[in-house]
Amino acid sequence: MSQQPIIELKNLSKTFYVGFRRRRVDAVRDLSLCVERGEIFGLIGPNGAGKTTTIKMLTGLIRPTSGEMNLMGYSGFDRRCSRKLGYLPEISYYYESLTAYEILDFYAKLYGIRQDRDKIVSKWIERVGLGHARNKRLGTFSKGMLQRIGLAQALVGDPELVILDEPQSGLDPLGRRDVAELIKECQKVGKTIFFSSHILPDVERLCDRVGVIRNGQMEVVGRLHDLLSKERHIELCARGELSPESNAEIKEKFGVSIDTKGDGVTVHFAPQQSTTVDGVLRYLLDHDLHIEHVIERGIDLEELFTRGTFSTNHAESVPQQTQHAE
Amino acid sequence: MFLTLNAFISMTFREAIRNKILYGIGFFAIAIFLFSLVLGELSLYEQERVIRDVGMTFMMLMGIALAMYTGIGQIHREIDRRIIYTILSKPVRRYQIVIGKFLGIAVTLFVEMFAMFAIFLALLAIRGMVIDPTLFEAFWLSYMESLVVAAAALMFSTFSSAMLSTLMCTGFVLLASLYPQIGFYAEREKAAEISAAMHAAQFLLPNFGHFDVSTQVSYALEIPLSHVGWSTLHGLTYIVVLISIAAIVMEKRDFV
Repeated sequence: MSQQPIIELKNLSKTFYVGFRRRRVDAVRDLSLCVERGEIFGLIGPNGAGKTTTIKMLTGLIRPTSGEMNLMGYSGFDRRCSRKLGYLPEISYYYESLTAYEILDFYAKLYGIRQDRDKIVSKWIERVGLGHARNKRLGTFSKGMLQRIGLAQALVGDPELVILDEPQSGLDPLGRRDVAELIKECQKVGKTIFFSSHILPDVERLCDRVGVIRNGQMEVVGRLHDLLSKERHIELCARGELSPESNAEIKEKFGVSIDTKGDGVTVHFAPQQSTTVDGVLRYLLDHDLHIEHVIERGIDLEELFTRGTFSTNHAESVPQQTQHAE
Repeated sequence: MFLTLNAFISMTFREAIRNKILYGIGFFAIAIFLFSLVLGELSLYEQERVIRDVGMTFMMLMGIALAMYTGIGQIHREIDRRIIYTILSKPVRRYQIVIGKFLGIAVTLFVEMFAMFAIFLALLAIRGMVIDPTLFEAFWLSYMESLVVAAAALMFSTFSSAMLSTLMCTGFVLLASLYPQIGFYAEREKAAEISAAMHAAQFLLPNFGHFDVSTQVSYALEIPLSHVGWSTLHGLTYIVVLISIAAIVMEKRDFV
């Protein structure tokens, strides 16, 4: 297997000119990113952050305004790489009067599959759980069923790189679990998955690495574990009377934050303050407080994301971004 | 290449043929043919002429309407409903989409128009009227005309909304149908700019007069094969030009 990243973006930008007055909109600005073969990479960001624009550039639907894009060893979007690419768009509509089998057969033909096409199509219909609806027209399908067909059309050509834009949207919890399993299975057989999602627990569960994009710029890229572990902190809960003087003294001496509620005292240690736990513990015991527990509190991706700031200590370097005028 | 084209042709055909609106049009066609029989009954001594004239004219109009409806819908709907995203990410050239769609429409139109033609011939046969080669030649020319309209509709739908495409396509059909009149008025026009514009329009537009053989149909006159051949060539030339423009537009545009 080649060591070259499967996706390599350097200072990729896309500018649109919209409306009658041709207002300039920088949808993506100087975005740089590498995705290694065989990994599951999640691109997250709020609405309008530039996720879908990035994905559209990767899939050749729109051309970048500037920057370099290397996809599966090909410079720019080369038609040859589309043979090894599977793509599920954010909103999936298909030909309503065709059946599940006919639509997958159509996409299989576009991939140039001649041999065993019937077997391959039937396999994917079963795999996405639509065996019972094989000969039903798509016009009668629910949103979740259409999303499954969307996944099947993305995978029917046995692609090396699978790009999924919001693959779990519109699915119930069982459907989301099925999609997550499918993504994991794809990784097991060596495929690379690049996906964007708003469902952060799923991103957290599935991704090896994530990139956070805001206002068209890549804010942070890194291993999820590294990004989250950096945000872990210790919390100490005690019970007893803590005078205002003692409260001020602890804060001054150890630099921690303290919450008091009734006779309950909670001390929060920032990630870099874990060495001061012993000192605070001793101080509280000396002042006749009863220690209830000391716990390490984690943070999930959702909390990290909604907070809007990332510790970049464990993040991979994101190149200096040039500022553009809106 | 052939597998890709085959995919588009079969998909376009299936989609079009299963469209419920087309069934409505089919029933409407039968009603009009029956109406032409009634009209024939009302016209003394001219029964056969009226039935042939009304039937073939109606088929030509239906062909144009179907071509516009199918041509505009095919590309525009895919862009509007974002089906195009899944297609363009596959190993498909953009011009293949345009050609494949057009060929799919061509097959669909042929089947639809031939079905109408067959019903019309059956009605003539039931009434014991003559079925001559002129009718077949007229059918072919009507089909060629509808193909030119479909190519224009496809071209307009690559860069404009469904409403705008319909308006532009209607204008195209009207101007192409008025081709001889445009030439006539261009010669008589005193303002040089307007005359030049009319000549330019004549140069750019196809002449639908080549496909109009209603007189020959009405009076069962022979249509020379050379006329059919040249008219077919005329139509094919415009189809190639229009489809090429559509392919270039598709190649250039971003799908935001």
